[in-house]
Amino acid sequence: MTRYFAQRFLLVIPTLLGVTVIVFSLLRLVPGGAATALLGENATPEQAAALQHTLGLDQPIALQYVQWVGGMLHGDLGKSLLNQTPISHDIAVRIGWTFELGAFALLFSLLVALPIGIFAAIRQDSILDYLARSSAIAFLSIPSFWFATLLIVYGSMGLQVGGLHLQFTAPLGREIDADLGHNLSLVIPPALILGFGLSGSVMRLTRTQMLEVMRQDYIRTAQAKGLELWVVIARHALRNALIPVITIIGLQVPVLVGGSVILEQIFSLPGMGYYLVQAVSQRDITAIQGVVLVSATLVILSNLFVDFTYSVLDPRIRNA
Amino acid sequence: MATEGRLIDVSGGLGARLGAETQLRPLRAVVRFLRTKPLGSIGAAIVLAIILLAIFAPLIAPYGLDNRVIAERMQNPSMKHLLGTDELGRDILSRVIYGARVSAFVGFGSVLIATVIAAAIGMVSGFFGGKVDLIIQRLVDMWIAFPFLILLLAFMAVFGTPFGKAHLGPVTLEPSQQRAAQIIVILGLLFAIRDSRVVRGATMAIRNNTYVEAGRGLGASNLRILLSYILPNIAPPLLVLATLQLGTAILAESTLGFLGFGIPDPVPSWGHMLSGAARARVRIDPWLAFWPGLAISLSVFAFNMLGDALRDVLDPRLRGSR
Repeated sequence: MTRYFAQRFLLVIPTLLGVTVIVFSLLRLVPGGAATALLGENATPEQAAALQHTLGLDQPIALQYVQWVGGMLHGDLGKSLLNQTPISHDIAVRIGWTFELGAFALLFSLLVALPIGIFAAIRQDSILDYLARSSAIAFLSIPSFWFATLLIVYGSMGLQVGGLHLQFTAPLGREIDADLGHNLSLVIPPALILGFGLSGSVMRLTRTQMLEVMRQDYIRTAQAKGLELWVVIARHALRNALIPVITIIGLQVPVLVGGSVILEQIFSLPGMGYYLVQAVSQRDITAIQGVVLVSATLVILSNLFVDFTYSVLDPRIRNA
Repeated sequence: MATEGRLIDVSGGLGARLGAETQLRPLRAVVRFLRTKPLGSIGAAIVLAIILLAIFAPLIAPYGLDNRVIAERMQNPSMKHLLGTDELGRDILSRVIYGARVSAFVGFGSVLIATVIAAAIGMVSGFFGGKVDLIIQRLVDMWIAFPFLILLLAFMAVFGTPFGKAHLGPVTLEPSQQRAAQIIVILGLLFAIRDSRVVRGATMAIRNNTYVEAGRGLGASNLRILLSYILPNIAPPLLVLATLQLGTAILAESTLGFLGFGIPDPVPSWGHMLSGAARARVRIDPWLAFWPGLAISLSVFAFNMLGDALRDVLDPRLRGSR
């Protein structure tokens, strides 16, 4: 097992390296150079050249890349082009919110999607199955920003009538370990919406996996032995269907990171996604680089973790 | 048909090339589809409606796409303006109809590019295997490590906001057209990388089939085998993928519009109509937020339903396995 893990870990390194090259070169492709992007179209060539020099952007590309990677290994992601603050600090302060949002969203989606997916598989082609499948597709068709906007507008209208007052905005730069109640009230609404959006695809995947498992011979044998359907499911089907579900969860990580961008924007949650949108509108190249890199690394690490969990749970992988 | 003891392939290889894996008899298949897949048929109908709205927008929309009458702004739905007016007095119904143009154009454009490129990459990777496959898949691995929206936003930052006219040879592009072109190309490329995996899987599943061997025996070159034997037989899953990808494309374009990086005003795009700027006014006039979002949801829902139904119908493994 250690050998499998070591193998997988080694495979990750070239991918990570490739990712850094992509991120680096992507943002160097800006037409006119990063300095022009920052200064806007009205910059004189002298201003642009001066800024390039200040930001160290006129050094040979290979050197810049090596400096950047070297800095990364020390946890230094460079400075924001706009306000010269260290990017790793900026991201570190905000990533807590994004993590919280993502974790809760994943939790909600699993709570909703797993039972429904399993049930839909057992009662395949029943009315419930059709209903579940249609609502799953509806959930993943509805844009989260629309759903959130409607909820906020119609919800706050209703809540005002009821005399309640739900806060929907968070002050920027707020520390993550603030008072728990307030913290949750800020994260739960967007997490619910993100979770709902996710639950569509998780439900469909669960259902498909469950269906495949239910077709297996050992399920038929168990039922032939006279076991109740629920016992069969609990003891035999579930364990085997849940293993691919781990993969499914792993697949949701990139979706969560992306989805948090939208929801943080709507609910003004000062997370990494909000930071990215700001950076994109201001064309803060190094900040964008930092966020893109961190996101990709998170995805790669979570895939690694999923593979590892898979190998622990499924002996067939372990002993391959 | 055997004549004089010899087996003659009267079709000239057509049977193998026109989909040995799935049999499609067009008209009867369509009717059967309508009968057995009600949800998919509804999806198909909505898709058709969107295409028609997109093509005939100027004829169907009661007002223009940027018909500002400040005196009539922020009105609720009425007989004069069926879906109400927005903050500049523009008829929302007309803008939603014109928005279908943007969604259809960006959607079909990007998916077309994506399908062609994905087919090329996936078939090469899956058919030849070995080192070629290894290298291509490592590259694909790197690109799919990035969360989609984040990478998309990074590209938008690289492009910057288009302004002024751009000249591409004989063609002059307005800013909104430039932006549309940028979005179509980037979405196409990003989708292509993800889709190539599916194409690769489908290719690998059939590359060792007998008719491929037969083709080789007849002296077909690799290119001919890819185009005449493999491609027609991976077309069904490719079609399903493209249909589902259309929904994703519309969602992606509207998300960009919502965040403010999409196609700029005055061209109406559904996402932009729901954007942050509009959100502020939504508390005064809740109707503003409703219609464009409904349009997005319905379109994506339609493509998803259609894609699912197509998958059920075209996948030979699922047929008869109830």
